[in-house]
Amino acid sequence: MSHPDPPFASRRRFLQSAAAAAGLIALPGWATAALPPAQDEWDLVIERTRRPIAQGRGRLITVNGQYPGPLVRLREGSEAVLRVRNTLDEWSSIHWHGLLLPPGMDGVPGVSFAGIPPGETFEYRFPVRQSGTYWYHSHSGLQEQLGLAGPLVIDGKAELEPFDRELVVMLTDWTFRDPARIMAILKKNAGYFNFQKRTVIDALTGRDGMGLADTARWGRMRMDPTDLSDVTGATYHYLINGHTSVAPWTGLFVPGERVRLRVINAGAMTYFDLRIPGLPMRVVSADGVEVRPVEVDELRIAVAETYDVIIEPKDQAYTLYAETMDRSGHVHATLAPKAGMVADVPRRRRRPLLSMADMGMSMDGMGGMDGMDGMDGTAGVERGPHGASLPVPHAGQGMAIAPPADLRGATYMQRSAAKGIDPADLSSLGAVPPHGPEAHGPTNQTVAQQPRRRLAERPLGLDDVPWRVLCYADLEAREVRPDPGPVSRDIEIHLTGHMERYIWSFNGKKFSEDPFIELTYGERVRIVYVNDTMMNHPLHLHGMFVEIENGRGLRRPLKHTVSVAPAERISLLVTADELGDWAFHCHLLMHMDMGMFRVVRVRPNAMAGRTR
Amino acid sequence: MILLLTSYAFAVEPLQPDWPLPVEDDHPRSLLLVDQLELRVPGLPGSAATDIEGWYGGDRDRFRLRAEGALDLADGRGDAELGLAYSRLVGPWIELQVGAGAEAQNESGAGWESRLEVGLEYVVPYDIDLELFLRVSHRGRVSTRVTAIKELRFSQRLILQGRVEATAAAQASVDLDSPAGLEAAVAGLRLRYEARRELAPYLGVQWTGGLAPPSSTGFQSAAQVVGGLRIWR
Repeated sequence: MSHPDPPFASRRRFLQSAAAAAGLIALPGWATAALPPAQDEWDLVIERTRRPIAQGRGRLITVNGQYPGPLVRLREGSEAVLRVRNTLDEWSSIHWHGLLLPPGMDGVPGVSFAGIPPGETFEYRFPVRQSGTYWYHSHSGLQEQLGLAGPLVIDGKAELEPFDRELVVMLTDWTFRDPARIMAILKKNAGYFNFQKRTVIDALTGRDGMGLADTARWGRMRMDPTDLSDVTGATYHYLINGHTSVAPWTGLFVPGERVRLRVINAGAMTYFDLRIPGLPMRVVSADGVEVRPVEVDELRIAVAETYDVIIEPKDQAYTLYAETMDRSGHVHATLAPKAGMVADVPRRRRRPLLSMADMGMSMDGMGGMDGMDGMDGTAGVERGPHGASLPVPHAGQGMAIAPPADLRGATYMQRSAAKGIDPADLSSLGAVPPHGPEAHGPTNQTVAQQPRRRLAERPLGLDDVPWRVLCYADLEAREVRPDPGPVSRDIEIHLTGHMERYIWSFNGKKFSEDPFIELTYGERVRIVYVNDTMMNHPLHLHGMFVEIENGRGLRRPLKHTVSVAPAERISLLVTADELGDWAFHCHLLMHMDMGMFRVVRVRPNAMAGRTR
Repeated sequence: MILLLTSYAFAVEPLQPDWPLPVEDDHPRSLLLVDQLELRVPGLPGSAATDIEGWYGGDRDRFRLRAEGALDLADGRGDAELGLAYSRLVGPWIELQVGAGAEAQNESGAGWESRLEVGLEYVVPYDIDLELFLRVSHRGRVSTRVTAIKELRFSQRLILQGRVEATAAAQASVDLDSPAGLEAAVAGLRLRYEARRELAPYLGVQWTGGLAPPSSTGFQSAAQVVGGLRIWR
């Protein structure tokens, strides 16, 4: 079922010649034909490759000469052996993103091993304990930005959600600039790549929807409401499976099939909003773990997340449209029953502006606290017109527009209740306390005075679209897990930063200033993130899944990467059931590199040893 | 100063001796900004002037460089100023600087003074860059300089920079031929076009005024049209 035969014998050959004509010879096989079968042993070669990319020639670092890298397909329950040879003149590595494995096999230089020296081969060997859609990438310096990344799919012992065909949709961002130079530029001028800043005319006329009062508020904060992405379409080319929109990738299907799209955001710095006009997407898996199916029309995929969606296309072509969160760029692909068919391509929407809710301002006199239990829920209320992206119904879109019940101004509890969440499961989380007096030192610029829970809220820029949008409150694990017992302690981690100096940190400290978070083996902890910055951060814990406390009880969704919105407070549960040292970091590559990184050290439980 | 630097120059240890660090977040960085490199008219052939600043170092502790100069292209007279300082970020918007500088001129006679400088750079609400320096010369002359810079964006590439600066001294200086009281006040507006962020030609106006030097009398002022390039790297 999961490896259907190619329906057209000539399809592969046709696509390859089309790709060759477009100068894209080194596309991975999985991007042009049915996905290859799983195997247990893999030989991967990291190499420097000069090749065509994004209508130019780039100097990439690739795996087996391909961009993105080859699809590594494993089988749950087997032992994987991955021999990685590094032919670069510098050290390299491959990290298997989202996989549960021994710490020495995680592939993070300086945390799990020394790295792979030039000219040498490292053999990764680990039992495969899970299934689903994941990916792999270099964890050495900024190599990931140069192309060293690829999809990783693990066949499960039993696929719960039936489908007839599968396609990998790998989103990436590519720049012809040297990533080290981009880093250097951001340290000198953090707004360098933002060409959507507000002008004096915007401020005076309010033509972009923000009034003078709010303009003044942002001015007083010394922050920029257009600061959505550090690196933008001003330098990036966006790609799906190695194709830009100029020569879009085409995924083929047979009408009537249930097609499973394995969507991976392998961008270094880019969040994407993904939709297929005219076709609802049934989300069946998040970060590789099956969830109860939930049908949406658009979803935001944070950097390093994966989502599996099932679509049931009819006998026509569709456009798979991925727009960057800041609307500075987009990439689209075509899904069609025959090569050569195309569908209308939507226009890019207007970039949204950060709102008062993102600022984390106290909402006194602006709606106040939620009456029910003190849990605030005013987020999004003030987003008003200026936060709105224009919901342009596109010609030929043909979408069954299903406007959500008007939840504007709704509390978090009301929004969650609308998604079928039992309020009792949320009440145990208690009220969100205002930010304490700790301002996290000179290298942190802002604090969210009144953080809020935002799980049931649509992401910024999608709050006004007249169709269904995924949010974390929608995610519910497919399987009920056994109750792992009580939580021993809470660990609160504030996401902090300094825009002008481009410093990114946790609790005001970079990795070099505070390297460790210590856990005891077997311990169950609640990790609370409070985002004091005005950017979204996709936080990735290696080695262990975290459970988002979104009110789904023992069906809390498991995630390896959790995106935290500005001024958001989000709580996660994790059982420290993997001994050893694990990387934990913001998956925005430049943020990680600047110090938004920790080593989570899971120590043996000395007490348990003694009593035994 | 060395003490201050070493207090922060600790290094995180690799997890194992022969391992690298997983991220190297404290690489020294640098900026060299030629904010003004311009011709000023009237006057034929006018005067040339520059204003340069730079820094090198980490996220909190940096060395800072300031240099400025003006030269009358007709008679070769002018003045130049150089400052080097150690700077430390003490709050999210505040930076303290301690350093040494020198100023030289050949406008009336020739002379120079060296000085110790203590400064404060503060980004105040509404994104105004405020710089305040207190200086003591080798002769014990005390002076102060205040600079405020505000930028307004008219398009994604067209930016207006407003800049006011005032220098005042407690005593007159024979070396620099400058008076006690308001030595100079400068107000400038420069409209630049960022062809690239790093390379922006500009046009502007500047007004300069101040008490006359000891060798002269009264209050002097002049308005000029300026044009030049703003470059950074």
